[in-house]
Amino acid sequence: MIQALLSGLLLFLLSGCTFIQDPVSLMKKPELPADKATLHGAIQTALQKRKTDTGAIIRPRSDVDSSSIRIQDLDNDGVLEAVVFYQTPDEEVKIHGMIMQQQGDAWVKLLDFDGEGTVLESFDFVDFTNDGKVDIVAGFSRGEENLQNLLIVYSFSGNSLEKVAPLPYTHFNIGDLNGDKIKDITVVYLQQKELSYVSTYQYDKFEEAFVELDKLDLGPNIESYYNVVAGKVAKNKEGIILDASVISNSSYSKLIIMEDNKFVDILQDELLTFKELPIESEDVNDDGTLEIGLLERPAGWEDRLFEEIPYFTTYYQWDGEIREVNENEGLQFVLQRYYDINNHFYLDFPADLYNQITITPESNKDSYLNFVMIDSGESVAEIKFFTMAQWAEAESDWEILVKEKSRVIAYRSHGDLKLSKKENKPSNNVAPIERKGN
Amino acid sequence: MIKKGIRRQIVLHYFLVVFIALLLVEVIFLIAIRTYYYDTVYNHVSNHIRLSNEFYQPFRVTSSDNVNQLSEMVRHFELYNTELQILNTSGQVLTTSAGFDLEQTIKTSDVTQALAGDTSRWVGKQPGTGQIVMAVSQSIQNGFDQTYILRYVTSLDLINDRLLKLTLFAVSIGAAVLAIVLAFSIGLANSIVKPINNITTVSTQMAKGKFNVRIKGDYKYELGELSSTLNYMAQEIVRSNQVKDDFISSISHELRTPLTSIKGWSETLDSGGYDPEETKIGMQIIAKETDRLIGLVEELLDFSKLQQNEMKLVKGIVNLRELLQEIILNLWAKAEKKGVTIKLESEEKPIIYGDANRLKQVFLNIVDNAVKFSHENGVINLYFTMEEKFVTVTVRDYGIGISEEHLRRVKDRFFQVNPLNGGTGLGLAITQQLVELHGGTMEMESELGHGTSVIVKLPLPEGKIPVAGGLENGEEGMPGPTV
Repeated sequence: MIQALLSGLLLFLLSGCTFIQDPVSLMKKPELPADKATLHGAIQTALQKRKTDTGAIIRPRSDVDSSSIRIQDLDNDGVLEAVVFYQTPDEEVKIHGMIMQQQGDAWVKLLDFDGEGTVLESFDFVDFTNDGKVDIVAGFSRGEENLQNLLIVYSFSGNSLEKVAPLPYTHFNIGDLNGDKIKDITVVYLQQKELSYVSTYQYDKFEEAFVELDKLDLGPNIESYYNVVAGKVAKNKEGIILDASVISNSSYSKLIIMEDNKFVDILQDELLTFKELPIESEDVNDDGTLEIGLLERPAGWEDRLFEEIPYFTTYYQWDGEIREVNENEGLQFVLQRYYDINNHFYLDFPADLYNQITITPESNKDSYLNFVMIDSGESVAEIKFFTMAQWAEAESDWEILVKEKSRVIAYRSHGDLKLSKKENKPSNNVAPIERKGN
Repeated sequence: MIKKGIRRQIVLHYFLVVFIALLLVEVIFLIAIRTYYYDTVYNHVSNHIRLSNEFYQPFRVTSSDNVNQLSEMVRHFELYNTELQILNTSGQVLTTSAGFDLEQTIKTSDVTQALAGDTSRWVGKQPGTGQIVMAVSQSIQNGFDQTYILRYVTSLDLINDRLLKLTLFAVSIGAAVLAIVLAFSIGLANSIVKPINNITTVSTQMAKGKFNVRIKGDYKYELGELSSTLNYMAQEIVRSNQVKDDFISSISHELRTPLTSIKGWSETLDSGGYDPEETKIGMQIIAKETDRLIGLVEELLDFSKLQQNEMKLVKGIVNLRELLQEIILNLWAKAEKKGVTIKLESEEKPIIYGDANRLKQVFLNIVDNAVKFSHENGVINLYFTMEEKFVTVTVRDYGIGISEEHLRRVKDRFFQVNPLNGGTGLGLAITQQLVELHGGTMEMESELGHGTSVIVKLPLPEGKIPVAGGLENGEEGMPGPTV
């Protein structure tokens, strides 16, 4: 009996080669919540029916919302629809979209539709008519290096999908530029060193199509828009700021608003906003209004080499008044900042010190900076680059700006000066404008 | 199940010891295996994060304007069989590899740890599905000033299934081992209990007087010793009974012989008309036989006194040399008949403190035996050996000797080498006890056919003992029969 028992045990152990399995092979994707699992399953089934790889679902490159399956009531009839894009590399049309509808507990495929290009850049739902029905706005491109993207608006009406003529774009923004409380599309188009324009489209109910409100030619010299932001540019003024680079790092900023459905280029003199380094326009003081950044050479550094100069970055807000001449008067100083793009830190100075401080000529922007009052030479603040060994012996009044594996960059201020350093803000406040390329 | 007793005790002990040991081993094994499974999954994910993060570094530098990176990151960091979530520093889910929009903020321990800069894991129920999942998070610096948290979520369902199976397997192995141990311990208990039961049965029978039963079975170790001791005991009881029976029959015989003779003579005298010559002879014989009877009864009395520790010694100063010479004189007639010469060879005159009569009885008995067992015309040597605290008296004869087997028992009560020779078989037993009463020892050395030595060791008195004057002279004047 014991023999039989032992041999049974031995058999069990031998057959149990898979008894202790590789734990990694036992890992499994977590289940989706029931409703989403149903939808996911329905989509997979639909894809299989179409003989498409089930891994073909693509997500937009946009950071604003990079989820690939979106659930939305498209035609405002109380029934949810789901929209998903997928790749079909072997077909002529490389990207397709699919609309599913919820019927009871199940999801049923309504229709497929064609996309454009090879890459889904963005994917959003917008109500252009204020009637609750939303359109699918999708941006497509042909790949990384191509600046020519196509924006397509799909209108869904219960059981059919209408594709509105595609708009070429480099950047686009959906907002309300003309202030009529109805969403419009503003498109920035650029062909490097050839042509560039900005134009705004709005849906016309009577024509049942998008019509161009206005178009503004931005000239042939632009190399790239390294930063495009839209939003409030002055009190109660919506506008768009384009940071354009021209040659190497030289760049300038354009501020464009719309008055009576016509574009107005507020800062026509490009020299007003010219800067040797690309400075991104943004809302630096968190007041909800965008600022334009400029470079300022500190006093006493006039004869130095460009590479050595520790520029101040100053930010200006437009006062909201449209001028024919003396446009510079419209730019109001907001903030002075020492901004080190290479080393990823900045230090903001109080506004009342503007034009009163400089940096000592002995300073080196890669090792030590001493900010002093111009009139008295009194030190206001210092920035110092420490090695780890030096940092261990540093005095305690230094405050860290950057801490890396091998070095620490820190500052200290003198007197009751309140400086604000860069804080890591939550990264969800991404630029409101869709952009591509440099 | 098992009735109370050693068997249950043994089985229970075994069971408990093995059960506790198994429990410990299994718990340790299961904890280890669980840790192994979870750690492997965790390491797999954290290694993936590390490797892909290293690989991702170059991309990060080039994309200084950090837009449109989330889907790139998902593609880059995605890991098979896991769901990747990218969170911002406030725990908000920015995107997931599942494709759906996840409007939620995650604050599990792994996320807070990731914010503190560590990679850590969290095991718990997935909200929404209630599935047990493991989440591994690590924060990565991306581009300029953006910190993201990569959170990998993997279902532990299969692993927990496997762990459950392993647990069941381990438990069943444990149960099997316990069963085997139980079987073995019952066997072991039986191997102890059965002989004990057997021995108990046999000894119960012995207690009832059946000494002819024996414990059968070849037991080992303590049990073997116990059973052989019991067997030996039974055998000894049988033998001593035999000895007693022999004694009774021989003592009856001893008693009957003189009585027959006395009866015969008294009847003869009664019927013979009282012829004076005949009467004289008859009365002499009757007196002699009566003496013999008295001697026998005395001996039995002595023995019974010794047995009951009622023998009292009347101690005084005893001159051993004188004592022995007296004995030689007493036995001279008997020795002469057989042609045996008794010689006292030593010159020492040891004086001890003891009961002269009893000591005389001792040596009379020993020397009488020597005469009895000497060949015709033999020699018996008596000599002293003085030691510091003892005097040794050796009685050496060159007679028939005693076999080794009998030598051991010759001092036993009632033992007679040849029961037909007459006598009680108490002589030597009494002698030995008397010597021991004096604080001495008696030993016997013998070789069959070559004679026997009886060595009596008596303690010398400590300190000075008053010696009766004139004794020495008197001794000089004593006629030595051996001379």
